[in-house]
Amino acid sequence: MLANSRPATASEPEQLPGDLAIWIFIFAELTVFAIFFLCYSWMHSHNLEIFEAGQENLHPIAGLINTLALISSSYTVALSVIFAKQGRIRLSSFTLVTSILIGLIYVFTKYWEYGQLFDAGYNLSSNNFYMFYFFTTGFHFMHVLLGLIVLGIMAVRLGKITKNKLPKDELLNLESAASYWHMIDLLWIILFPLVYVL
Amino acid sequence: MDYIIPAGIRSLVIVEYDCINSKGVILSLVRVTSVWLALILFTLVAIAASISQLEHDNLLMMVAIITIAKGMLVTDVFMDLRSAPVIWYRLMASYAVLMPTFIFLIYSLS
Repeated sequence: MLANSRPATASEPEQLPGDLAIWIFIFAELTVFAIFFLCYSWMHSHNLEIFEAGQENLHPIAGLINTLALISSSYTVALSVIFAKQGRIRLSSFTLVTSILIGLIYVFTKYWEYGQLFDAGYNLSSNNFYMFYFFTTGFHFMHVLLGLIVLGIMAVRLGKITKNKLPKDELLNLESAASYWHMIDLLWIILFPLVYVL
Repeated sequence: MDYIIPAGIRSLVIVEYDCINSKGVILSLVRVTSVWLALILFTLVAIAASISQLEHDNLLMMVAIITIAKGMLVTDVFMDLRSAPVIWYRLMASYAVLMPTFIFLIYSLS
């Protein structure tokens, strides 16, 4: 079914966006997060009262803001790659910087959310819910920070290009950075309902 | 119009218009923008479902389907894996489908 849903690509050779190494790294990361997700789900289903009480202390609006921020940031990164392929370096750089600014909304919102919980006396050792909450979302938070640094480096590199055509290796770097950022978005798409909705 | 849009932004839009105004790029932009709007819509629907008085099993099912749909959209369009070698597409699509399914099963079977 998955293969049939793919478009015909007879005219264009199949090509992985970005470097092969980043995709091996991405799948290693996805595997680690898969273990976290399954452990969280298992603990939630076996400690229902503790997890539901913990979830009531979270801020759903903050979760919604973070989701919208990551989705929008991922969107502008996708735009940046499209523009870069067209050789519109200035526009590509502009959308990449926009992605970073939107990504920072996530960072500040999450920082505020952690601050609220710490001020209320909750931390990693409070109970099983907070241990899983801080550990899983904290690990994801570190990935967001790393992703923002990578996007920042790419924005600087794009800013230094004076020609109207992006060199092939730079396009590969941009696609690698974009793929990593989309992975962070995909992980949050799964994490968000686990922590805030269910 | 000249008074509404600042000169810097106007020049950027005009300069970039020629390159954007090609069919392939416009299609890509429309596709990516549609997916972005769909992802926002799905997120809002999931939030609305969680605050409504929906039965827990129905909520679980709905959230699982929405999460799978969102994951597939990111994989297909944002990551652009539809034009990648089939093994990579299948690996990523499997993750986007199987992860929410396993989570749904753990929640619903307990």
